Amino acid sequence: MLNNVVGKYFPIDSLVHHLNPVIKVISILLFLCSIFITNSIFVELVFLILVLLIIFLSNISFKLYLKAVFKMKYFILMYIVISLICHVSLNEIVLIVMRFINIILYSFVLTYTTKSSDITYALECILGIFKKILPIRAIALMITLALQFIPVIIEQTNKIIKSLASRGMDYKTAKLKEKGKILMAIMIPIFNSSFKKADEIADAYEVRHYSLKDKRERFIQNDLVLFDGFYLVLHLVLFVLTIIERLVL
Amino acid sequence: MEIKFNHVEFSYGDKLVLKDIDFTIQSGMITGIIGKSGSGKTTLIQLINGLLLPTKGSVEVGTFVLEPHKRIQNINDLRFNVGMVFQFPEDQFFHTTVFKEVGFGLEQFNYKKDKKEQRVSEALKMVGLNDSYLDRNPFSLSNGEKRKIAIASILIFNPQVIIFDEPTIGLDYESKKSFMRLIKLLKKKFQKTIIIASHDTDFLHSIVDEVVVLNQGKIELQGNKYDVFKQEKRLHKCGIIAPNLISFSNKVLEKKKIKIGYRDDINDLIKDIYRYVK
Repeated sequence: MLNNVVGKYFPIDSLVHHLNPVIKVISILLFLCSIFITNSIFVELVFLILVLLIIFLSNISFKLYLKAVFKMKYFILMYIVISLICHVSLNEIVLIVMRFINIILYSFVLTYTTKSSDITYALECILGIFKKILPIRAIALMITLALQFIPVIIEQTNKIIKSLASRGMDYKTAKLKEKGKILMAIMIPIFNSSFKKADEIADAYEVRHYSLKDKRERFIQNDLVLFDGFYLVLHLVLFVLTIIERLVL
Repeated sequence: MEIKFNHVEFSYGDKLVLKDIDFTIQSGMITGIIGKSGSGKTTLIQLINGLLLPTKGSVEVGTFVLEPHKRIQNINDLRFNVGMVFQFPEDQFFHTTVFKEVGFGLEQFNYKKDKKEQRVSEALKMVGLNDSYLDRNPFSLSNGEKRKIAIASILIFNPQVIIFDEPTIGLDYESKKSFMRLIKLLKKKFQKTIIIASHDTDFLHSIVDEVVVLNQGKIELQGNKYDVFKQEKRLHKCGIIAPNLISFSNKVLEKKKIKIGYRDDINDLIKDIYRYVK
């Protein structure tokens, strides 16, 4: 389970799971804006504490979040090395690394605790203001399908890697050149099965009379509750405080 | 090649999938691993060719010993001896011609290139396909043919142990029959050790010698197929239905108090009944 965490949803009963998806998406947008506005390590630390608190409330093992951060280790290490070579100050490196960690953790809070259909619903609602100039419903559907495909592709990749290993091409023990060869070999079946899967999904939508033109009703209503309000206000306040902090300091 | 599981445990993260697995698979026998979905069949067979390593205990495959967190150096030698056909082999092709797909294993195990063509033809012939398939795209074949290609791609490097994961899923009656013939041939003519993980008890009953029943990651029953399959109630407890021929024999014994014995083939069973009635 730990290996395939990207894009997965964990159906657990928690306060964060019950949050309105629209509120969650607006909050993550406010959060992202805030952490990019600030230049203070202290403020980044405050945001990290906030994310840890939300993780605690999500009732999902912290190990799974750590795994997600660990997956980005090369990216973070590469940034640190390049920064050191370019003589970037230590303060700045710490700030950017904290930013990375905050972004990764909060993004995974969203995907772990929100169904892809709910994320689509939220995007549809938020982008609704542009519906006269953009095909919002189609965009939202594309995003849902793309999110659903991430775990499918990872599982498929693992299967093919095992199949290759059983025929003498083990990715774990292979040299760098062979690893490249294996990754190339994987591309064909991944594309093949992705197209096949996409076809199957399209058929499944069609047989159930799905049409982007029809007006649809939602089976599950996402009513706003008090905690939604608190969650949004908290993010909004932090966003405003970050702007003030940036302007004053 | 004998395979020995010594008190093996395996877990995915915190989830314990196999618990205290301790049994031996005899060389030259066909062994069936039965269990309902999620009982740990696939995990168990992946421990045999080193795709997974046990988290406790050890697996002995001939002279190879697989132990926790200990990657074996000559893993390809083990895989050369233990071939594995996956549950959905059709999803795991990565070459655009049958020739390249079937011959892939030979390249990895350092076979001479000039023998490749001949070996590919022989492997295809064994699974009932001819050379006209060599230049075809494996992705465009029917499900039964795809499965045959997957089996040929393992048979080509002539492993001593062959593992099949749910081989009968999606196969029609004729394909099942020809698959059964192939398994029998591999055992009788080439003395291969064959392991089949499946929940198709009718199919397993007609082909295997020994059976291991898994239930929630533990061995519930094991032994000679007749000894295992006749225990209908225990099989039922594990979510498995006993083979039809065994169920029929048990019902006759229970209702009429007539012991007609256990047979692998329906024709033999009918002959027994006929003899008894006569």
